[in-house]
Amino acid sequence: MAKNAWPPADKTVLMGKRIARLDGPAKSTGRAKYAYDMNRPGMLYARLLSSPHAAAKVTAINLDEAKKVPGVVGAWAEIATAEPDNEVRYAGEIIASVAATSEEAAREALTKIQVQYQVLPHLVDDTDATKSDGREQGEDKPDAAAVDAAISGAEVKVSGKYGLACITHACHESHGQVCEFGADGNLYVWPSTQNVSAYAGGLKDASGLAVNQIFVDCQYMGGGFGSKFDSGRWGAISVRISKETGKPVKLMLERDQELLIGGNRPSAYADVTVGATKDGTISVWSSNAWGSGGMGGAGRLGVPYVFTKIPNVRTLSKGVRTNRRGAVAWRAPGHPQACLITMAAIADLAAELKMDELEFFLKNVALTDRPEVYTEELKIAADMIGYKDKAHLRSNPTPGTLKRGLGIGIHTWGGIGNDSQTEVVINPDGAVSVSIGTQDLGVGTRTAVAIVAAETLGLPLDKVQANIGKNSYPPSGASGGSTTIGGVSASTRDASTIALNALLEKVAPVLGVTVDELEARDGKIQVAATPSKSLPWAKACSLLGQMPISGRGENKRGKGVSDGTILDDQGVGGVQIADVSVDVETGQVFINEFVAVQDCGRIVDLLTAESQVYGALIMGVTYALYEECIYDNITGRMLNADLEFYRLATLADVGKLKVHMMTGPGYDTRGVIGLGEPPVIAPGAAISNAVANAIGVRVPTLPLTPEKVLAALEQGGKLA
Amino acid sequence: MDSETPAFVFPCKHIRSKEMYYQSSTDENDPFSSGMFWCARTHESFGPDGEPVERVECKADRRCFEE
Amino acid sequence: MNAFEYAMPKSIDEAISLLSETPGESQVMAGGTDLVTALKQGIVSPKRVVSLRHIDELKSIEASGDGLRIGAMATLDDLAAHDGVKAGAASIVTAIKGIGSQQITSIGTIGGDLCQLPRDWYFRLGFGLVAQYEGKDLVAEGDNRYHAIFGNDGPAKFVNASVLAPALIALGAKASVVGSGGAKREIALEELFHAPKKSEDGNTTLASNEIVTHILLPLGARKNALYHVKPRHGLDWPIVSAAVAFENDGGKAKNARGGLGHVAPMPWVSASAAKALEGAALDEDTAAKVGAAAAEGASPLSRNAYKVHLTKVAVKRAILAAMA
Ligand SMILES: Cc1cc2nc3c(=O)[nH]c(=O)nc-3n(C[C@H](O)[C@H](O)[C@H](O)COP(=O)(O)OP(=O)(O)OC[C@H]3O[C@@H](n4cnc5c(N)ncnc54)[C@H](O)[C@@H]3O)c2cc1C
Ligand code: SF4
Repeated sequence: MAKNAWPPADKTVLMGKRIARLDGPAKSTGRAKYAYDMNRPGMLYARLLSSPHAAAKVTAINLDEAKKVPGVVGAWAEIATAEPDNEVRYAGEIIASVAATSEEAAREALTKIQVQYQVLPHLVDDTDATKSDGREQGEDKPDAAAVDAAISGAEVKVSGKYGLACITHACHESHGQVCEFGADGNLYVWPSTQNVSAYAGGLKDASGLAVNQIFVDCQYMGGGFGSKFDSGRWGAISVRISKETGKPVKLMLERDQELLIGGNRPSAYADVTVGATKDGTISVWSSNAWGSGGMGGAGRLGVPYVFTKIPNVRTLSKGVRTNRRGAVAWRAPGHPQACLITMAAIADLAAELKMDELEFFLKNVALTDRPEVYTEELKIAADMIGYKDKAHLRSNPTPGTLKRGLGIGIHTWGGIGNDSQTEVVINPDGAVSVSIGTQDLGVGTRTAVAIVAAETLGLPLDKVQANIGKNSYPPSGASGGSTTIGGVSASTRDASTIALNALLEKVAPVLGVTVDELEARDGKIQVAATPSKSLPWAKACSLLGQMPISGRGENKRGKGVSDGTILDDQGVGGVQIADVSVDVETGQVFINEFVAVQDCGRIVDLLTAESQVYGALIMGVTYALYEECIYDNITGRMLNADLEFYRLATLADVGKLKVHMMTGPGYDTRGVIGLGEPPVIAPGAAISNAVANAIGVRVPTLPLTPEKVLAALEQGGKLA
Repeated sequence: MDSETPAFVFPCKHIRSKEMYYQSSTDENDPFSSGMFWCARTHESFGPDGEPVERVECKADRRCFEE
Repeated sequence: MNAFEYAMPKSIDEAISLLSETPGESQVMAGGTDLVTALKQGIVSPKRVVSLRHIDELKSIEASGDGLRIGAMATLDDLAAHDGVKAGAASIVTAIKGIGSQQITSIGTIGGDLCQLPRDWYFRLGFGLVAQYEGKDLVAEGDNRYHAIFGNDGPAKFVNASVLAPALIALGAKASVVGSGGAKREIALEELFHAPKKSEDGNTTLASNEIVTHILLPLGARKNALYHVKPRHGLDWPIVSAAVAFENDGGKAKNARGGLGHVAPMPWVSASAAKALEGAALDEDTAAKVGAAAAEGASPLSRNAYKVHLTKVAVKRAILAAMA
């Protein structure tokens, strides 16, 4: 009988190998259809009008001229024009919508909508907490006396301000959906979402339908990063328009709106004091942090990060409410912020001690939850980047104007598997379908599902059809919190095992053995002890007669699969080291090499796991060096809601990236753990530390633009 | 939801967080909780009253609260 | 984007008359990389767009006297691949490669680069070239990190976006302009640009029915180079660029000229820098001194003083590159 427990890593055929994404060819040839590619007969194009004001009351909306534009089918106010619900709270907020038979007509109609605003005062600047109308969000460990004593008693200490600007998700595929009411009265939706199974819930009210009448289909999607759980106002509006007009509707955000309202990773700033003993053991941490999640809460800053066992800790954390789009979860919410602020302060402490950064981190791993993992990873990362040969103390910079430096960041994440169900059907002709209501954000989930099923059934990959992306498939959790791979692998393993065992029941009498003696391997059902005694897969399946058999597998978060076997796990550590050059005359930062060593338990597909980390490093370089939502204090508007001045790294900018996935005892002997978030946490910290190591001074906040690097050099008396 | 815990307070039916979509219960003790919420009525991180959506704020005494 | 009429003249004359029929309500289109963006942003909303793509005589790059006569419709790729340009105008090649986008350089033109609208974010949000909001000077009082540090005493504080102009000015290029009734004029390239007093005045000195037809580029045995500071290696705008050209007269600079980009509403010609370079020994010390001279008279805004520093560095490095 087949068992759920994973086979040993060295006994697998597919799992843990480098396997290319199954949908790669469809994507690279354009056959893959994203939400925006969906076109339905008679479809209308809807567009949204955004407020140009950051704070205002809408007193009148005139849609008459918009409705007159040829091709326009309708125009609607999306905000009240009377108290109390007529308040606009950020620039970009949705004011009105239009639908037309062409995109051009819809766009033109937007320009004809007349809105009267009574402009109110706004606050968009989040860099100065004293200017805020914010409120305290609680205090942790406020034992002032003990911390003050620890600070004054510390043999070495540093104080600094650190932080990161607010950034936006900048999904390449903007938010939105195509929707259509069928003749059957059901609603069919093609969204861009990271939440296939539960997406329909957000459209219930707008459609007036029960969730079981809403059919969601998202086969491919172009980036969510945490911003595509909710169907959004745009989702509800497009359904309402479709219902009212009786036509299919396509509503995707325009690029500027995508940057303005598609997401928002809160900013974080902190004044930090950190102290250590002379031998370099961190003894005290005190921080006063603030940040802005726009009109929502900013969340608490979880510092000190990773080094959670520092003996004396005081942290204050405050949210500043600004007239910006509210916070939206961005890969590892709060972690990149906490990581940068912690690692920067700690590296500054090492510099103050004139101690090598690597040595300092190694010395203090005892203050973390997984000292062994970090120690091992730090050593591997150091070897990979040639740390010994390149490292120098911050006080001893390399000569010339192009200064080189190394910097370290370490991170942690949970990544337990989500609640997930899979159905595996084995057909009498041997064909296998695996169905699961998960989604593939581009990371390879579809491929992973197929790998697990094929591995379990002893089949080559192409014999398994992985069906994902529909809410008519068994429910599987949203892709958030790095919970997908653990959940889908576990439920798919479970379902495959159950279905296989049903097949083995049929095969056992034919081969004259018990079910327990059988295994599925190499396209055969064979007797484990005497593999020559076997039936080819197709032959074995023919024993099913005319009826398919199926298995329904389920993973329950933290509780394992249907027979209680735990196939996932949680808690990982990762280490990243950046090697940068900084032109101290121009302030430009160049990434030479960037190394990531990552633990993620049992690896399903080594290729897609690695590419997940590569992608995270690229995203990390991007927010470390370039990304920032720039708001104008006078108008309250975002000045760079475009991909021109909202810069994303190009391939020419990311340097040489090197990824090492931890395997072997202690790693692939664990269950499957999520990888979506961990590797994107530490890049800001590693790069900021590398820049500080290179130029001898700390650039306090990300992004590390030439302007800020030059300012830091000047302040440190180091401007040439 | 864990309705057996006596101290459990039902939040407003409109509150959403990403964690609600990848686990079947709203576990307040989830150490990886993003602490980020939105309101299903506004699809914003503030409610119809303009105030932030928070697990601790979206309770029965709020004007827009619905059970 | 508004609906407009699209005209495809086959000759310069035809283009001019198409432009003259609808004064002020037509737009010239070259490669369209900037114009189409501006149309979509609603920055321009012409009744008629006159494409120059079908006028063959505007596409050629020909030898003329001691230099080149470059059609305004020559693409940036054509220019960077031209042997004469490669041999005599390295600064131009550097500027084009610096754009960092094959898509743009394969279709963008020299005329379009010179005449393109500024990238100023206030302008692109619709506040005008002279960006005003409720009586406030948005640039002076707002976020001016990328704005002018020279020539900003008037109401215009954007920076000219052309990447070629500084190099062309340093090399002494002229623009051939055709307008009303086919009238031709030839102007020094720097005269193509101005800092407008009002948003409607545009960023060039061209009348609404005038087009640049050719650029006359003298080539000689001049040392020349351009240095730009860009945030990204890939597609990006320079924060500052500096181009220089001079003859090596026995180790000393002769007929020195220079142009600065992205520091003023027009490509900026620094008289003090040219003076400091003229006759000076071609060495590192001179390069640094000329850099410092180039920054003289700068009037940075609230948060762009770093661009003054970058100007010094860019000029110094351009001179060093030209000497090499
Ligand atoms: C998204 C984007 C990003 C860009 N990024 C960069 C960058 O990072 N770095 C960089 O250096 N450049 C960049 N470019 C700019 C690009 O180099 C210029 O847009 C291009 O050179 C303009 O050439 P064009 O032929 O396409 O001009 P068009 O768009 O056709 O015209 C530009 C303007 O010039 C006018 N015009 C054109 N030809 C003439 C003529 N002969 N006579 C009179 N007026 C004329 C047009 O009316 C129009 O106003 C970017 C452009 C875009 C769209
Ligand atoms: S209490 Fe108000 S803001 Fe909170 S979820 Fe309910 S409706 Fe939304």
